[in-house]
Amino acid sequence: MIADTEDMRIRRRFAIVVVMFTVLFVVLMGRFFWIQIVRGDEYRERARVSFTTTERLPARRGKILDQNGEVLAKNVAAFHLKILPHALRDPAVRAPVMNRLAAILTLTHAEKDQLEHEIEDHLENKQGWIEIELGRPLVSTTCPYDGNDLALVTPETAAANALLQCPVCGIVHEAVTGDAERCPHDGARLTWDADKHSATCPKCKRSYVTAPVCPNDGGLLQALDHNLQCPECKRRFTDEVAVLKSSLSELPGVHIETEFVRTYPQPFIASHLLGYMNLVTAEDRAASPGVYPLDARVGRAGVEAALESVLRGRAGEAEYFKGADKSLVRGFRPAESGLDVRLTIDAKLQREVRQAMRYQRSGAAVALDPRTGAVLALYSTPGYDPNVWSQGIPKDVWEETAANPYHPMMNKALTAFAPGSVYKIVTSLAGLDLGLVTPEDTMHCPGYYEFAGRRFRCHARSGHGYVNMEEAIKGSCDVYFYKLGEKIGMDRLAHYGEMFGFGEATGIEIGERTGRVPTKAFHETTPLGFQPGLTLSTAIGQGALTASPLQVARAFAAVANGGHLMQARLVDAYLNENGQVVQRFLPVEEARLAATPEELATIREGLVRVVNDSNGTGKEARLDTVVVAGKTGTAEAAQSRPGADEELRRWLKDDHAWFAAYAPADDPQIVVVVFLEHGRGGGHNAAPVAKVILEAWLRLGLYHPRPIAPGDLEDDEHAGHDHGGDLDHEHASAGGPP
Amino acid sequence: MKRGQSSFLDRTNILAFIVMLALAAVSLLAQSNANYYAGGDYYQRQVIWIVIGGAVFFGAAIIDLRLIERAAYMFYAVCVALLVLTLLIGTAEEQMEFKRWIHLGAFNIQASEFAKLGTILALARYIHADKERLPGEGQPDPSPYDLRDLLKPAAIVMLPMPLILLQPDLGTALMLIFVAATMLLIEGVRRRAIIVSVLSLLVVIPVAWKTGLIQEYQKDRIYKLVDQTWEKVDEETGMIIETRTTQVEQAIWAIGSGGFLGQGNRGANKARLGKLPELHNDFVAPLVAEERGFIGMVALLFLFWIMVMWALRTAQDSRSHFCRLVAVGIASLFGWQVFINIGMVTGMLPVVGLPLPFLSYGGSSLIMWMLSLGILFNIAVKRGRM
Repeated sequence: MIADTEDMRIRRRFAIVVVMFTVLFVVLMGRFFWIQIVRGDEYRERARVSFTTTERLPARRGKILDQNGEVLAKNVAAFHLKILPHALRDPAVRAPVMNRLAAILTLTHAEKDQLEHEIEDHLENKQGWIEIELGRPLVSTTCPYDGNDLALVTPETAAANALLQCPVCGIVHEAVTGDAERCPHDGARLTWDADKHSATCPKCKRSYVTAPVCPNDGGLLQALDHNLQCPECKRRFTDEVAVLKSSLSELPGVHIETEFVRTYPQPFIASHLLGYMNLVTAEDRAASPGVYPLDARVGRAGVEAALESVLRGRAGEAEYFKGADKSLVRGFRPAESGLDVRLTIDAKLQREVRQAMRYQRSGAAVALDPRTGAVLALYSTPGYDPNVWSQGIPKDVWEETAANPYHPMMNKALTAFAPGSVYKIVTSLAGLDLGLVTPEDTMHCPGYYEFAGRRFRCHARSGHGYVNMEEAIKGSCDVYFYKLGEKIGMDRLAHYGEMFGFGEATGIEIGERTGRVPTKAFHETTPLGFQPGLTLSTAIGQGALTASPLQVARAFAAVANGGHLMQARLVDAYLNENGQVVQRFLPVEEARLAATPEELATIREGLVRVVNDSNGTGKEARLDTVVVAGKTGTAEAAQSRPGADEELRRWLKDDHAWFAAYAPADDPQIVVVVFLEHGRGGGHNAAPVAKVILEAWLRLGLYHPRPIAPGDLEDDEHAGHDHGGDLDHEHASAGGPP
Repeated sequence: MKRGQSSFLDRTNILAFIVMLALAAVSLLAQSNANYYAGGDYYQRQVIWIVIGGAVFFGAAIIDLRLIERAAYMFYAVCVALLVLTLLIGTAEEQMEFKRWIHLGAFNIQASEFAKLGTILALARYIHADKERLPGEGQPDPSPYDLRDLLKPAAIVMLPMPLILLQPDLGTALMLIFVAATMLLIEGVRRRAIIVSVLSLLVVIPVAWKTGLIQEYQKDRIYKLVDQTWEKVDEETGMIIETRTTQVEQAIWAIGSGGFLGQGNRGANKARLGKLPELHNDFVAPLVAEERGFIGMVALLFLFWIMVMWALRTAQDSRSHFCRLVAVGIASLFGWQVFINIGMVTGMLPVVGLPLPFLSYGGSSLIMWMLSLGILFNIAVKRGRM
């Protein structure tokens, strides 16, 4: 009995133990279920993140090209030599590395010692990589002194004598024989030292030796086997980057970092147009999260800023395991290069525009294709060097720029100023279209107009006499337009101004000021309120009216092309890395002028006479080869500025000078607007500049005369448009009709 | 199943034998892959230990069980002597302050591994002899153990305990308590004795905590387990020198990365898993879990469970009291050690440092397990008849 009970008890205890262990094992299984199934993804992600390091693969920024593919902005590789001192802690490892580096970089003994000191100093105090300052960039394929592409040394270009460098002082000598009398480079008589071991050329200052011993310090000279030469400065180099990179396996703890630096090969021709780059700010980083690393540079003005998202591309990412042999993790995303931007700008013309503007203190010039609205040149002066601004602006440059009274950072082609008489095309068309005046109607100009108890003067004090519209335009008769403006009225005039695109965005891709077309309502918000006399001022382009040179160019393009108000365009296409067009931008007609061909013809005839009549105000823009049509503008713009010196005060008092032209008058292919801030007279100062630009345009062969064909004349209305379409589809870059 | 006629050919014995071979195979695979991830030559050495262990296993499986009973105290004494020796001339692994090994030419002996088996054998022999004592009418005393009766068995456990704790090796020390408790549970202990024991533990642990008997690093492990934001701060510099994102957290990430099907053979991140400390040893389970996934771990736990269940059945079927106690001891040692090891690498239990039976690398551990399972097979085949 007792034994039985004992047996049962034992069995019960065993059952308890069996259940206990089974439960424990089920708990373990549950734990694995929890970790691996329920939260598996989360733990996997955490494991990935905590054991890997993500390296950013910077994207190549897109280039900016002109319409013919000429490079306006590009990226140049700069190389940085970095050393990890802790990898060189062991002197047995360090010695061969230092010797190899010294040989590749042709370091002098002093430079090598300094480098070693730097490494030892770093070993004691700090962690991580140090960048080695050589006092010059690492040489790769461009000359570190002038940026020219290096050429291989050929037998023809090779120096006749071997080059020898002293490892102590670093001076390079040329080997010559002791009987040489003249410098092999320039033929000057050599100056030999007393014991005939070394000589110098008094002209080119080259040093010659007869034995491989440095004449200065007795160092044993070593032959340089530089195989590259700068075609410009004739200095000779080795592709250090290539040699270093191929030797990296023998150079533990040495690393070459490549950085792309934005460079503008022709810095001053289009600084405002292109803009510049500078360091990303906290706001930029907040505005587009995850796009910019801390040391990124962002486009700040012009195309660089406006097309930042197109140009910058998308940085890639490579994930490495921490510490390990840099084996890649699965998540690897290559960088996507930014798209190249091809502009409608013609760099050749842009350079000529700069030439034409070179004597002007402050102003802008715009060239536009009236058929397409494509901006061919857009220049503002004074300018700045975007290369300097992109490298982190030096303090003195910054202060100098800020103090410059002519505002070098302002793009005056896209800033609104009082347009003056160039605005009279708007008043003319309004008058004709509203039926307030016919082309033949004449008005009398005695030199002034009495209105509301005030005398409104004409710029011609003695008056123009009786003038019709064409004559009024030709002579820029203010009285004619005062009277016309009075009839039109403020708001109707504003309506026509807006029809010409004034007071509105031109459609250009980079930042612009839209200016102002005043209305009664606008003036009522000002302290003085609306005065009827303001209508008269506005009618001749004065008063509260402002317009940018580009807006003026667009309005003249509309007159030139038969009434099509084209959107101004600066960007022709986006191209991928291989130069293939990714996206093409076609001309856009924004609006059409409410004008009959006859009305426009009247105005155009007036514009032709401005330039071509012997007493036209713009006769200084006349060309013999093509008929130019245009309009002068001299806008009163006297300003005062606190702290201005005498000269500046005088300048500020002067009028703005405008000249807007298109050519040829019967087949307009270019609109040129020249604006000179406080440049005095439109006819005397601005028109000659426009003439120089038009001459350059012809000289460059950018004008393509239409082959005269039967029926050509009836086609006038569509010609410009068709031509434009043609050009855009096929030959924007090649130029010229087939 | 027909009882009484057990032999090696008993189906459950064959199953257990196959499971044991399977565990040995898993062990070799895991060690080989651990070599791949973390480097080392543990796989090659584990092969040698399994071969030697195989010989030990067969020796233990055919030896006369009476010989084992007779040698129990001797074995125990040798183990204790080795523990003392370890403290005197023991060596430590690099960077660790633990003295766990006796350096012996080409290999090291970890005495604490054998001490577990020694304690089981000594305890079994003592309890057996104690119960076989014939008070009064010559019947074995069936009454459960009371507090007074527990003193001597407790002394058997407590003799090696401080020696192990001084190494320090909290895991093995705890194992002795768990195993002894399970053995006594099977023997039967009065409720009063259980309550008093538990209460005294509740007193001893805080005292040990306060007096420094529990080492700082062991306290840290418990903090890490409990406090999600645990950080160890250097008092002088104020810098965080260790966070919870250490061993166990990394082990859990590895296990979690395995998901349902696992990353496949050698499919885990070499650089990451290779950095997990003790990958060959205590933390071999995360390796298997990451490679084989949930499915693999269920299978592995099932193998372990079969071994425990078979060992308990062997114990239950044992005719001899001594054999039953030995079998229970080995079964519970196996079961507890699997539970504590996996519980610790999955973050349920503090890291006390216990290898996973069979899978973890270690000559002493493997030989001890081969010896134990050999004895178990011996008992199973003979149905516990001495």
